[in-house]
Amino acid sequence: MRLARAALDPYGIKAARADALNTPPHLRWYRQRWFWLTAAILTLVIGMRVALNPVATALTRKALTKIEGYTANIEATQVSVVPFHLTVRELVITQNDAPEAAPIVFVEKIEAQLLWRKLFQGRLVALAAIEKAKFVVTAGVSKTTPQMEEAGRKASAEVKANDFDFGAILQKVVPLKIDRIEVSDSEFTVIDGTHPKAPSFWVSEVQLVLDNLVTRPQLDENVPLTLTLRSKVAKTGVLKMLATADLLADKPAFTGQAQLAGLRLESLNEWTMYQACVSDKGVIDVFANFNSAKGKLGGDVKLMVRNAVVEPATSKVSDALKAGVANLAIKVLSDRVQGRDAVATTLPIRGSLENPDPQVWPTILGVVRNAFVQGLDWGFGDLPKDTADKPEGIIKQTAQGLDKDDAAPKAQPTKAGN
Amino acid sequence: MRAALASLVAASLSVGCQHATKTRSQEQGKQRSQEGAAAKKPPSKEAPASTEPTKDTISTSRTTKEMFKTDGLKKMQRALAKNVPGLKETGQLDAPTQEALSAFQKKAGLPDTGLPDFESLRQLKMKPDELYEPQPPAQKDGVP
Repeated sequence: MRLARAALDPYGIKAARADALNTPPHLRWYRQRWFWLTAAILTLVIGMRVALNPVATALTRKALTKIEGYTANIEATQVSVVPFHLTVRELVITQNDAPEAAPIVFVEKIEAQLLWRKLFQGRLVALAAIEKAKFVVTAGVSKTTPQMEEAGRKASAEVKANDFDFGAILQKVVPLKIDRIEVSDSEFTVIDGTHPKAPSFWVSEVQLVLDNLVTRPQLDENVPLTLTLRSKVAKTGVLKMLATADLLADKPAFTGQAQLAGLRLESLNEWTMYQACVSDKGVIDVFANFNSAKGKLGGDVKLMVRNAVVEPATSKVSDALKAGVANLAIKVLSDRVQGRDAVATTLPIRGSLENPDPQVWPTILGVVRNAFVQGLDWGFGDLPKDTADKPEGIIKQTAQGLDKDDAAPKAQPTKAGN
Repeated sequence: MRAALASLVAASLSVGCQHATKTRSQEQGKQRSQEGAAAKKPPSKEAPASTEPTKDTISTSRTTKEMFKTDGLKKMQRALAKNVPGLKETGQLDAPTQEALSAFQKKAGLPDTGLPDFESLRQLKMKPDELYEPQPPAQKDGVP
């Protein structure tokens, strides 16, 4: 009997219809509250999403028209209510009076979304992600707008009025804060528009993350603001940066380091040929370490130029002379550490945030020590440099700096006490 | 200024015209290897993976090291070792750790810096305060 029924109604449609007809009217599914409630919510969400997109696009385009001197446009925006999410696609900004009207900013995608864990703590905090952005600055052509200049003046006045208390400044900003900023697959180009050949400097494959921008004591998750960065410089160098900061302290406190490694000097030839009529070969590495607290500043910048050779850019005697002198200096001042032949030194910077004091004499001593006494280590192992307890005279610094058994030349304390 | 330059030239001449041929770490390394040879330790069968920084990774300075909690770094290395077997728990942000973190970030669709950001830590089932010290080292210990 069951088999016969299954053969007549293989999909169970007739059986379902019979069940529905046999069910009391008030229990049928299309009469249930839950069905209509769910349908209403879905309709609202979908309807809002469909309706909000053109509204958001129109509002964003209207806001962008207020930028004077530049034309900005977007392809589209997408708004999602659950979870709250705003996406702007293909933002393009061009300068109005630029000769070629090439875009100075192009961003493929900007996303902003609310952080639910912060919402439960009673705060509107968002995450912003920027993907495939391109920024182009042309020296001699790119101009600042009156709005930019006014914003710059206001920001500068605000910082001075608050005595570098960035925490107080941050707390004056609108309630919706950005907790995390991500930048991925982006690039930055600087072009010298004053030169007929317009040499350019390119920073590409930029990956950057800023975390914990909303730093208030009750919401800072017991960690400071953090910056991590990696990018490629002029196709050959790799730039990496790591820093933590507390902007809520009376004076901003931060610790960090940045490394630019493996930048081939040939990639800078467009600039050096224009500026000095010489071209370079070799590799440059830069290591920067920086610390600041209570207004004091301590920084060290180590430079290493490895296997450098200078060639004249033209057949002029003056260019050949310049190159010859440069190569002689490099030969004299290079160490003979296997595999590198480096001219290297460390520039100590002490003092305060308002008055940084780069120290020349320890820097010069550093070059000589690297060449004739002991090669500088590659990397951050010897940073930060020690600071002398008391100011030392030039002769004492020289004697210690050139003594192999003594440590490398020390940074000198400043009047500020560091 | 002239006196300073004269003293510099005099000092250079007294040092002699022989160029530096080693760095401090190379000399320390040589000293250590000599001491090691004296101790007559048996050679290891496998060469350990280099933890030295490369162009794509960074070493950390004395102050930057203090940004991190050693236990937190080890916990992060344990979490990364699930994808990179053989990653050692050195308690330092060394080159293999940065390379493993970079690979993890690429896989997770995060900005691939090779350095620990908060979202990367959350995806490794860690809280940011398990790795990062609450204050920048300069604020805690003063500017060196």
